[in-house]
Amino acid sequence: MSLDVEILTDREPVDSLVPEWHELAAACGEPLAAPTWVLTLSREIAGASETPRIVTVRENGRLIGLAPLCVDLAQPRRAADYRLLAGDMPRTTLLALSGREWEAAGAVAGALAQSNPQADAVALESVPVATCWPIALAEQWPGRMRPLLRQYFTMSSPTVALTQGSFDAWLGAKSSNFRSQMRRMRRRFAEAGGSGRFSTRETLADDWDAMVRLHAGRWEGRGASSIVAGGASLSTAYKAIGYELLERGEFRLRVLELDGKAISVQLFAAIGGEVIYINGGWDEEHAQFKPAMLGILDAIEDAFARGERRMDLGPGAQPYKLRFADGTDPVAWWVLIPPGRRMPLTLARTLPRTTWRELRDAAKRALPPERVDRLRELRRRLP
Amino acid sequence: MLEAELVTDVERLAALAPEWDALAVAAQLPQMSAAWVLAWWRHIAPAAATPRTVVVRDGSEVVGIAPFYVEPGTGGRLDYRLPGIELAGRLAPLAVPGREWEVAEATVATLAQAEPRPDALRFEGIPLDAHWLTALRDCWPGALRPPLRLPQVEGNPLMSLREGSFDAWLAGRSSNFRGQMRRLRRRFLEAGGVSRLATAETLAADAAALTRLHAMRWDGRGHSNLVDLDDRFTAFTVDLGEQLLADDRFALRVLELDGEAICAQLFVGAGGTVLFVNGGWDERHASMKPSLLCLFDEVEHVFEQGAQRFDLGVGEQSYKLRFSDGSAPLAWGVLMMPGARLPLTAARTAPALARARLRDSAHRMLSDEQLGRLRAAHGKLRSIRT
Repeated sequence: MSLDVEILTDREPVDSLVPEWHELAAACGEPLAAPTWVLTLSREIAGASETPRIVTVRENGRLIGLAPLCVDLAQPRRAADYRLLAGDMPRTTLLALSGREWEAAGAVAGALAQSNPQADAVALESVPVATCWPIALAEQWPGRMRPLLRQYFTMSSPTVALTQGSFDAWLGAKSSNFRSQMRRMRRRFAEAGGSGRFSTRETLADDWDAMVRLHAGRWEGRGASSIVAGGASLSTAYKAIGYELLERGEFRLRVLELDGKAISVQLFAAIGGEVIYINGGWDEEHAQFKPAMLGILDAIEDAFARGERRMDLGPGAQPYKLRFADGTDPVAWWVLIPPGRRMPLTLARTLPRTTWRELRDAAKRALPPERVDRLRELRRRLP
Repeated sequence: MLEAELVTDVERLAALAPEWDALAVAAQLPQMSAAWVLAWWRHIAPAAATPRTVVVRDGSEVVGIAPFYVEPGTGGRLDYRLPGIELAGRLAPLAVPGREWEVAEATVATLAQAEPRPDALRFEGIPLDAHWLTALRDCWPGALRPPLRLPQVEGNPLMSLREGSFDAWLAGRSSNFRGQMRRLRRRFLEAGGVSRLATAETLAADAAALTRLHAMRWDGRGHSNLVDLDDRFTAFTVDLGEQLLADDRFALRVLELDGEAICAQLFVGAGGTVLFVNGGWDERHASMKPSLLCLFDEVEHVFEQGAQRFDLGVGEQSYKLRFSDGSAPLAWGVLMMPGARLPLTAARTAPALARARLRDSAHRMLSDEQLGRLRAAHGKLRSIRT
């Protein structure tokens, strides 16, 4: 059956696409590829020169695939690098109905090869490893030569399977050490007068502000954080997303309070049975309560109650995540460089970035962890 | 903490069958089940092949099995391979869902110490939408990541079975398709045709019919692995049937006319996925389109069984595309192990990679007609050589 492909570059047709796009994201179980996240973040944060190139793939009018891409039209030397809209999120992806990825990728590749401006590179960053999209795009890119495709970085993303039927059954299957630690944590927090809640429409704005404050406090002197760097515009975007998705249960802020004051706030997104932990912040003054772990435990209990399938704890294998995880579903960074006159220039331009990632990876593989930590510390001190 | 064991004899593998099968069911990979792989070892494995299967445990639970094998003494590059590409694609290690990376890490750490040391892991028909290629490469111990080359990708049509019932599925197909299939069924029945599944009693004869009909189809048409295997394929099918028939995970469908098999197709299931392995039919009855009819009957059967996915196997033949509503392509490639022998391995891999690139370029540059002519010439050359 033939597929209809279209590239949307204006806001209006994109807005009318939202219900179908949302349905597709739910079918794929990809919370951060849902339209509210992608469109709101790109609107509030992207530079004025970044314009959408959203490729839709339809069969008999039904949306079966979607590539939410954008291109920055103000890059030096008129470079046209296509990337995923809101591509800084922990897990982003192109979408297609299950089993239709290959066909959809063929249609997307065909459209991108004809798009204006012609793509010098297509960056797919933080996309799931277990997807055929990057190879499918490269294999089906039209023309006499196949594009260059490079996977230059991967990052672990610990996951919790919610397949045991209930929170109690899940907890019962964990080690006795884990169970007693979690129970002790909850008891001590409750005894200290602590309580937990999810944000409501009424509390959302204040809760988000608390999250930013706590997150910034956690990151002070520890390096760069996208939430801190994003400033007011990022907060505006997150609040807007929250107001839209909160009541559907697709945006969740877990707040822990002590004496009426937030000591921890954590953000989760959900759709189609999949929950993803995005970020959080907590007050170091109350480190003894292990608020980050308490918040995740609460969110897992909540996800069980909603009948969800899996919680993705997000990229990065921090020890607190690994206490909960029973699997991993890593994300990968790819770049696809189509053949053409500008290919050498694009290669030269992208090489430093990909090589830097690969060098870092090689250092991690070659050096003992203490030396990697020392290198990290050194880098942090550099201006 | 995971523990990995390298198993190098087939008897020891057989002892793992129940836990192994549970992993194949969880991964929905019938072609990686214990029954399939053990039958492969008994009837199809090259004489010099020995297992290099990595079994990964978390405490007493088996959480992963990577059933590689090695065929030493063949000269050239020493590859570790997964068994069964002669029969079907979608060959991959097995793991509890979500634990693929842990299993990959334990697997490659064990393979890096195995004897003889592999020059390469060769992947034949590995799924692209799985973790394994990246996981096995990224987890390889040492400062350098092994180079991974994927010169070939093949389509693999699927039926999602999302309609829930055969009637609902049929109603969603084109009126042309519905009309044709109903007409074919009617004509076959009017001619006295019978469609049936093999039973324990008919298994041996039906398996022999499958091999014979498959060979008939390929006569003068080029190369088929199953034709090369001949009686060994029959023995494999019987062995597999004996293990899986009682569990409703083995279906050998036979179309008969006047008591004679005119078409046979083999299907195997695990965890809600049914795989179409292969088939054959008698050209004298081409007007009945037995291959389409047999597959159509089996689609009805898999809906009745409550299966979730029908994997139509490697290759995008037109009769499969009439049924499919999706595809999950497979890749062929090689992961070359870092070390002193890497340059030699790379040199030995280069010709195959160059051939694949050439083939790819031909596909991109030539028309279908030109490609057809090229294929025919290649087939002739091959038959002259053999």
